[in-house]
Formats: sequence, structure tokens, C-alpha cells
Amino acid sequence: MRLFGGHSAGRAESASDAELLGRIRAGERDCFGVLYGRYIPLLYGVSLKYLRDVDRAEDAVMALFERLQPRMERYAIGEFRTWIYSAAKNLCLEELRRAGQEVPLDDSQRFMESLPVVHLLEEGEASPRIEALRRCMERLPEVQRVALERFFRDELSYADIAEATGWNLKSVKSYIQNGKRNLKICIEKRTER
Amino acid sequence: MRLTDYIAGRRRGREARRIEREAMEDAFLRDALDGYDAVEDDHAVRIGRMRRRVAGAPWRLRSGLYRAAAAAFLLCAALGGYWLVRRSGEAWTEKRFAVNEPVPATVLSSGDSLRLAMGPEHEPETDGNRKKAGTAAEKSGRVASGHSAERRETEAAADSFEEIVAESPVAADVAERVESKGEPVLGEEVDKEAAAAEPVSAEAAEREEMREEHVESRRYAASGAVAANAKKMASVRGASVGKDDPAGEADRAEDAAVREAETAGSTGRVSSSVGRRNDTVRAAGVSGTNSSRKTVSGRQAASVVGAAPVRKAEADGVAAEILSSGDGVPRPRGGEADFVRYVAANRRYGADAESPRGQVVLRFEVGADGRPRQIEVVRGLNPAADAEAVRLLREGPLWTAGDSPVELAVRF
Repeated sequence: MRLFGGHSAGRAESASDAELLGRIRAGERDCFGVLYGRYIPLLYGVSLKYLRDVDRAEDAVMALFERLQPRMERYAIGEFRTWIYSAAKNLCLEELRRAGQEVPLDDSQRFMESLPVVHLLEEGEASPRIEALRRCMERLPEVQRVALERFFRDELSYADIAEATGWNLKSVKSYIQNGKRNLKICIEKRTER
Repeated sequence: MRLTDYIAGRRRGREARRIEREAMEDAFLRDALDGYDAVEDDHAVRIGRMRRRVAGAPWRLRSGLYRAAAAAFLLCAALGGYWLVRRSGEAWTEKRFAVNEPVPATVLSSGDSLRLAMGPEHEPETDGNRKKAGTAAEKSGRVASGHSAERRETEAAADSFEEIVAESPVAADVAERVESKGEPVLGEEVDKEAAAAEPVSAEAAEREEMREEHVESRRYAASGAVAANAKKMASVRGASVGKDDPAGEADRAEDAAVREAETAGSTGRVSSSVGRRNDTVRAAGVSGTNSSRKTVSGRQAASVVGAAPVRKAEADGVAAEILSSGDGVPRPRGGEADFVRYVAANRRYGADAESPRGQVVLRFEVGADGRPRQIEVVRGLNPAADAEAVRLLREGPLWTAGDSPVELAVRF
């Protein structure tokens, strides 16, 4: 931190990621603490997902920080958010491999495939595929249809849906995920004709 | 609603639903929420702590350059202090030696061992005092290079991390496309990412190990046990270079032992560094004085001895043993072998034949920070041994967290 001109340091909290990156590249190393701190909730969550242990996850988040801090100006970073996400994930995967533990499969592909269905569910009447959507919804298993309706039509959260239906949280999420996937398959089949 | 609220448990209502909806399009958020769902804890506490640590970072000496400079300065200060102590009178130092082992004059005066310490190009000096002062100067030179070697290793280890991070343009590219288009063919990109990760991992895994040791060594320095780590690294290096070269290995063991003694001294504990140097110089000096030329391995270095009066190290078995077993039992973070080596290298107990031999059994728990706490002596030997066992445990390597209590036997 500079002794004089300290007001610029105070503005760090309100600076955007890109601005902070610029200042870091200009040599203001301390700005990295502000930037990294913003992402700690996300980074810690990701570490928890892979490492499954609060101590290991905390160690991973701090280790990532300590490694990046001295060399931030060397990296060519576009979007910090995506960059730090993949850096954290890679670190967790390395740690799992190092510990000889199994690495979870990457399920993000499946998630992304059903994204158009989500948009479809939200577009409503305007969509040309709305008819296919309606038909396919009718053919879904009841629990999946109900879960999707609660989430997309009634805009309830998972916990709300669990409360309303009596299902547990895991089931709610599972019905929504599977419902989305089934809808995608069904709609694609119909629109192929 | 902020993410931290959702994490804290606010899962009802429109705002919570909005976060969940966002997670359908954002892999980063989705992974994070998966993590919080998978593990129960008071997450806010840890998150707050991490944020504080990250915000407070500027005040820590993060640059390797600062660390090296600080270490060099401490070393000079410690050496200066040591010389002052020596000048203030032999009588005073002798009294301290009565508690630690007496300086084995036979080892230090042995031309062989001294040549090993200083390298074949140096002539051993005849006068005892001048010898010590001279070798100290040689050692400080070697330590300085040792530090820069350490720094180079940290850099090398860090370079492997560059590869970890450098991969990320691939992943970042993928992630960005995911974000913007919403329907990428992730299949092949994911494979590419995995393929890129593979060749890195083996090397990086190994360097990760050494990096772990450096992290450990920082903690050790705080507790004053740098010696253990330096010795571990030295024995790792020594072992890997090959056991077929007893003289060379003794040379390296001597180097390592000497470096270890000096870095131990650099934490400012002058009198204890003398005590420790006795152990290690004696241990390494064995190869010079002992005509039977035993192969010096990392652990045995402490056990084989020349003519000097010295405790029989590990006479009745290993220096320490963890008695508890099971899944929830904490373990030393660097492994049990490392812990045993630490105990063997750092224990200070009466050298005379009258000191009772035996073991002290301790029971303790390990806190979230990895430190032993609530240490109790289950079976003691005598007050000095008991206290020494507790000291070794408290100042030693960190442990993995666990709920079960640990029982540890320390042998004297």
C-alpha cells in the first residue's frame, strides 16, 4: 500500500475486476487481495465440491492465493472470473490425483446441453417449439413435470419446492435435472420430424 | 440476496431461486453450490477468516527475496550472538553443555570429519577455537548458497504451477464459450483439457511434494524446527543419489547436517543450536572416525557413534511411534517416518549412562489448525523426559485434523 495517495487504495473495493487487474499489472500487488477476496465464497465452494473436506478446501483456497499473489503480473488474463475458476479447479484436480483419490467426472456438458430447454420453458407462448414442449411435458414422469412447473412457472426455489411437495432437496434437484434432460431428448425427437 | 446469504442457509424465496437459476448457466456458481450442499459446516466463519487472511496479506513477507534477505540477516545475527557467547567465557558454555550433550572433542578434532565438513580442498585447522570459527565462516557461505538453492527450488516448483495455470486458457476458452453460446460441444474440449493435464501431473505431482515440504518448512521455522525439514530434504536427496557411494554420501550427509545446524541456529536459539550441531556433526562425523565405514542413511546417521560419550539413539527401537490406529486418528502431515526423523534429530535428553532409558507415552488431540493440544502424559519416565517429550510434540510437525485422540510413544 502506498503511504501517500492512499485514497486510491480505498477505491479498490469498488473497482471492477478489470480495473483491479490493470492495477495489479501496473505493480499494485496489494490489489490482488481485494480481487481474490471477492471470489473466495465461490472458490471455497468449488474446493469443497472436489475435496469434500473443510480443512483441505480452506488450504487449497489459501494455497492458490499464495501461489498467485507473487506472480499475478505475469499472467495474461482476459476474464478473471473464468480464469480463477479453472485455476482453482485444476488445483483441486491436481490435489486429488496427488492424494491418489478418484477425480469426479465432469458433468458440466450434460448441464449445458439442457440449457436450451430452460430458455424454452421460460420463453412461453412466443416460441415456435412451444407445442412440442407442451406435448413433451405431458409425457414426463409426474414428479419431474411437477418439479419443473414449480421452478419455472411458479418461480419457487428448491427449498420452497421441497417444502411444498414434501420431497427432500436432493430429490427436487434430481427431478429438475432429469426432467430437463428428458425434455431435451423428447423435443429434439419431435422437431426432427 | 448475496451469495453469502444463500451459503449461510437462506434458501427460500425469489432471491434464492434466482441464484439457483443462475447456477443453471454458470458452471462456477453451480460447482460452488454443489460444494456447499455436499459439506455441512458453518461456512461463513471460514469464509470470513479466509477473507481476512487475504486482505491482510500485504504485511506478510511474501516475496522470496524478502524471505531470503530476512533469513540471511537472522543468520548473521545468530552467528554474531554465538561468537559473543563464546567470548563471554568457556565456563558459561560448559555449564550449558552439561544439560545438552558435551561437545565431542574427538569428532571435531578429527581431521577426516572436518575435511568432510569443509570439502576436500580445505585443510583442517589445528587450534580448536579457530577451527570452529573458521568452519562457521565456511558454513555461512554454504548456507547462503543453500538458501538460494531453496529459492530456486521454490521457483521451480512454482513453475510447474505455471503449467497448471497455463492450461487454463483452454479451460477458460471453453468456459467462456459455454457462457456465451450456451450449447457448445464440450465433449472434445474436455478431453483436450484432460490430455493437457496428464503430462503435467506426474512432474507437477512430484514438485507439489517438494512444495509441500517448503510449506512445512515455513511452519517449522515458526516453531524452531527447521532442522527437521532440512534434514528430511537432505536425506531425500542423499537417498535418491545412491547408496553405493558411502564417502560421497557421508559428505552430503555432513553437508546437510552442517547446513541443518546452521539453519537451526538462524532461528536465534544459540545454545540449542550448539546442542543440535553436536548431534548432527557427531552423526555425520561418524563416517570419518568410524573405521568400519557403515553406510550412512538418513535415519541411521543419528544412531552410529564414535568414541564420544553419547546417548544410544534408537537402542530400543524407533525414536517415536504412533500407537493409535484407525480412520479418524490424526497423522503427522508429513508422514510418520518424517515425524520419527524429527524426534530423533531434535530430542535433547541426558547423555550420561545414568539417565533412565525408556519411553514416554503421550495422549493428545489435534485441533483444526493441526497443532496438538490437551497433551497429557499417559505413562511417564521422569520429569525431564516427560517435559522433553511434550516439548518435541508441541514444537514438531503439524498433524492432520481428526476427532480421535492420538497416543504417541517417545523413546529415550
